[in-house]
Amino acid sequence: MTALLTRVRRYMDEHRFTLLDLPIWLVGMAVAFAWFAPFVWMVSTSLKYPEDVMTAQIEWLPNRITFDNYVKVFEYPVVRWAFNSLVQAGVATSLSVLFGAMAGYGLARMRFPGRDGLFALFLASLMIPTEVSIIPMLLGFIKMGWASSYQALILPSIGNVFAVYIFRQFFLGFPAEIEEAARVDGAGPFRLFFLIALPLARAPAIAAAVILFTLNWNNFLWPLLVTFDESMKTLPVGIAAFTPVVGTRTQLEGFSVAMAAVTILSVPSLALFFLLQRYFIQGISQGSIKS
Amino acid sequence: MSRVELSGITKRFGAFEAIRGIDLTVEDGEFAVFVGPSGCGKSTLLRLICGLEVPTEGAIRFDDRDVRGVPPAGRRLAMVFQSYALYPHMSVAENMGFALRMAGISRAERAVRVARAAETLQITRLLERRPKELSGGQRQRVAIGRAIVREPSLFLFDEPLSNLDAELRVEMRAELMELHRRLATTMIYVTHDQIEAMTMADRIVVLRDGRIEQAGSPTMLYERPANRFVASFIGSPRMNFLAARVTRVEPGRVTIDLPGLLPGVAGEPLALAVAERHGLRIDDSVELGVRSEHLGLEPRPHRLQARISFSEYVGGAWHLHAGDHPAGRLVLRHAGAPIHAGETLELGLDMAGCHLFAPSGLRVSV
Repeated sequence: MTALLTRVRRYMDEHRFTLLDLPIWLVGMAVAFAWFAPFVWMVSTSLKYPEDVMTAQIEWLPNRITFDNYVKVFEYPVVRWAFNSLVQAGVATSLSVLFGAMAGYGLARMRFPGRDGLFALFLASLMIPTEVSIIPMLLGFIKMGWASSYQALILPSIGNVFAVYIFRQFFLGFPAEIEEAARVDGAGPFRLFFLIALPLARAPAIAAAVILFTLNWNNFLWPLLVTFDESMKTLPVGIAAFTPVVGTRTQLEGFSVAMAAVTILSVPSLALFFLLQRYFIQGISQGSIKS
Repeated sequence: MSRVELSGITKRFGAFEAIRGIDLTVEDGEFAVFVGPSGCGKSTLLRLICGLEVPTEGAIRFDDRDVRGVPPAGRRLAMVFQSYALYPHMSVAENMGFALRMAGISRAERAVRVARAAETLQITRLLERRPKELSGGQRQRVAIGRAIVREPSLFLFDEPLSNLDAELRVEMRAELMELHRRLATTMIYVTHDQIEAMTMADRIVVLRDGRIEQAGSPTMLYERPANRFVASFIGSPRMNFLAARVTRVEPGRVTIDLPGLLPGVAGEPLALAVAERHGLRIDDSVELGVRSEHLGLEPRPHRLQARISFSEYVGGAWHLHAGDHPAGRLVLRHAGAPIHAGETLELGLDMAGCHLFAPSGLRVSV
């Protein structure tokens, strides 16, 4: 017991952890659990037999495992939907990161009248709920004959205020002398941006890309409204079609298959996050320190 | 080759006037150093010459060509920044060749010119490295290399050595002077370090509050400072300023009363030759400026008694400080046997090296 206490004490000293930090740590752990529990439940359900999905005793981890649900997922055109999702999320994310960087750079580094007002307007646009603009936008796309097309899936997401914000914060702290050196070296505004500023903005670019890719990949409402044929559906929209008849065995089966599909759906975002975790945290913290 | 002429240059940032009507010509091939305390406008003036800032009023001419509206890249100049401002994502070679790339010079030609500059600065082995893999001194060399590779007509240096340690600073100073000798290109150098200014410059321009206090050769500024500010800024240790009072005014000569002055050997009053239009009157408060080398233990007609409050060993000599002399604080350089705090000395004044400053701060002695 004494040995354990000594170890705890040493650990606390090494990590500069005091008793005052304990409530923060407990809240943090609770939030982490609240985030992690549904994830465990999703993966666990995806590996269960239909009859094990709803049990009187909660089974956090399945007693017996099956991969049938994953096989069944592929009975649907998920490959096509995944391709659509990849095109939609990939292109929209790339473009919104590029445009976000350009706008953020302009708002942080260029002097022009109304600059701060414009930024305030950008931020104010966050207060307009998507639901307000989504129907007029849908009608617009239908009128242009762009319904059920890639441009319909991609275009509404290519400008993102969050990306603008994160890049603006980064570029506010960008060393002026590097920019000036490039000007003396003969770089105009475009070459200055593309050859000097953008390559140095890797951290905010990765942070914005991870967040926006996840948002775009999981986007449900807009793709649901704008895609009218099966071949243009994205993964989230397609998976929603797994909804089974209520109160039947197929409902239970539907659950586990849906969970298998959602597990597959979450893999790219998670992989992206874990791969780029270091840069992601760097990018976010840079933004937050500057703000 | 470039002759830089500034006429009536004023720069305002909102209500703040950073540069106030500066007229200055830097001759072709000259090494000019702008020196002054923080906020005096020296870096702003350099940025105006560079084209990074636009003057509110006045004109800048390079070889009689008005460069108003010409961007920095069009002025055939290169600038070395205090923080080196190397591009972190590019190799040393790419950094050095960037300006040439912007100018549309072919890859082969770039490689040749970069290699040549690298050889001059002995950084050939660093060409493939990134800036973060270099030491401070190496980065500084790369920054200078980036400047010389363009073969500019004018070099601008903005406190380029201030981030280096003392030893390296001395080394780089010598290299820059050698570079200037070899290239014979006009160089304008900004520093707050008067020793850098004294050792490197053909001409020093002392600035304060956006104005030129004095411009001239290092010896001129040291030996004939125009005013109290220049006298106090140039020289180490700093000039001693002793409060005195005018007791007699004659044509070309002013006699002063200096508190704490010991009775003269011949009972001679303390008198200095002054310029014709000195404007001094009896009872005016003036200051006697004495450099530490003009104050010593040698017996001289005019002597001061001073108690040493502390002494600093500066290698081969001591700086002796006397903080409580009635005329003001004294510092002198002493090369003999150690003298310790608490000792009282009789110090002889070498009047030939003394300056008299009027209440306005202007030097009136000749």
